[in-house]
Amino acid sequence: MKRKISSFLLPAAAVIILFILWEISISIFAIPAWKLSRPTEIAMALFRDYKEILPAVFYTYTNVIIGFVLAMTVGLSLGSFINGNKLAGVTLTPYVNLLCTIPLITIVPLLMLWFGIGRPIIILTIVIQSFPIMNFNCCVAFANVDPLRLELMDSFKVGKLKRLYYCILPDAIPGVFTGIKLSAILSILSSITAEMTGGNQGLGAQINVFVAFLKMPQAMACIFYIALLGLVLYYSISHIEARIMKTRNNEGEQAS
Amino acid sequence: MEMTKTKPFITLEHVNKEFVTKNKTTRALSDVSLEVSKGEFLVIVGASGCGKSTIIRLIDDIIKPTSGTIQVDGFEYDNTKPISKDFISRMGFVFQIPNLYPWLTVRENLLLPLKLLNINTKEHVEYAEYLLDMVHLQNYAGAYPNEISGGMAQRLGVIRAMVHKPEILMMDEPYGALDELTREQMDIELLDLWKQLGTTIIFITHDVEEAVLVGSRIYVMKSDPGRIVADVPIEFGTNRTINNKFTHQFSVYCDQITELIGEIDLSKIK
Repeated sequence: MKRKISSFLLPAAAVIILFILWEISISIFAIPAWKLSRPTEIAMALFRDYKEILPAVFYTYTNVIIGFVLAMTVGLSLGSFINGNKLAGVTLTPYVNLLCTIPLITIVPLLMLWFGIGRPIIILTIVIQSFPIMNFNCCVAFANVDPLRLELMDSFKVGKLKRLYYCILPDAIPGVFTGIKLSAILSILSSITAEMTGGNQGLGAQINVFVAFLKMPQAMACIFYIALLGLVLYYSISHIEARIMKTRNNEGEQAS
Repeated sequence: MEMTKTKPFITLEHVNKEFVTKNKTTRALSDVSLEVSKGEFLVIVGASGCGKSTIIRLIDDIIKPTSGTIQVDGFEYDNTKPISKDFISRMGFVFQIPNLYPWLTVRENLLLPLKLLNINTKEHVEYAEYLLDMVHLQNYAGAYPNEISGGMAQRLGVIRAMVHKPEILMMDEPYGALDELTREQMDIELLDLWKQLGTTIIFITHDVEEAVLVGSRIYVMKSDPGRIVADVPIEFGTNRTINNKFTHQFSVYCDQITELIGEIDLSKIK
């Protein structure tokens, strides 16, 4: 219990100290407001300008959630398909890995040129950028399933789907969750990049507008909402993972 | 030739098995022929790397022979023809380690073969409970594998292979990781199960004493390449106890088999 409290209190205390130092530094070094806003100004902007910011928050959050769920589904399905089909693996893996390495900022303008702007393009961008990392982690996790556990499946001559459901997926859970976490982070990144590059709605586009008018506290408030989404997604996924892994924490240790 | 001899239940005829890797080809089995009668407790004994485990993996069709044929209850299969799906439910496999799934409880692990084989009868579920009770795991049914001892896990591995009521049980050094005392206890428990259920058992071990204690017949194998060098019947009958170990005949059998295995060339152990 003591450990639990300290694991919450210490990071919270660190954030408060950071904000205090930030606030004081701006006064001491006389940093102008258009360069860097005070934490108190950002907090005020969060409440005062919510009518301007909240529609953008809602737009970005829904895009990220939809894109992330789609990316997760595509990545996991493709990983499962590649795992059960060697030919598909050899054919598709280089292209999926290529998508992992291409910087998104180079694709977004092209996608917008081809398909226009709007929600579907942003969601497409999120999926294109986020599913390869999910797929990559799934493929690695599936390929590293304990061969002896697979041999149990072989001894019963089960089909591919049963093999996946009863052995491969549960065994690969840690790797799959690494993919989900990375995919969540990339979903937010790609959404904001797409909105900043060519979108007219969402937090990314809103930051562009605020910066253009030197409304730095409002721009920082938008960044706060982006960080909040990242934290909520990351910790929700970690919580689900922890619950699933609860029974497997001492997997290697056996009572004697 | 004995004219009255019954038709064997399992037959291997001139089976060869080679494992081919990028750099070399390893001959695991060379011209292996063997017969197992229905209800027999057959033991295959030999040093590490002599191909004992390969034989039962071939019978269970987990791997394919390079050449030769395998026959179970009249059904023949080889490297081109797979085993019939109906036969899978007639076989059970016990691994060297319990090979339990850590994300399933003791009961869920036990019932896994029924799910894999689409068996959903009340009779089988009741039988699973009976098996749990028989190996004293009833109180641990809701525990996870990491919460039970090594001996318990191994017992669970054995009854998991029996839960679908197989006619053939293949056991790949099932108690190799246990200490001698626990192993002897488990061997006696296994003999009790065999007497009660009449299952045909093929038991792999490298321990000569264990082989003589449980086997009604022993095939002795040598390595490089893996081959059967002797077929030794053990005349202790079915009512065996741990006391058999202290008889003169037991020592005679052990000496005979040890001599047949011969000196082990450590450099050839894979």
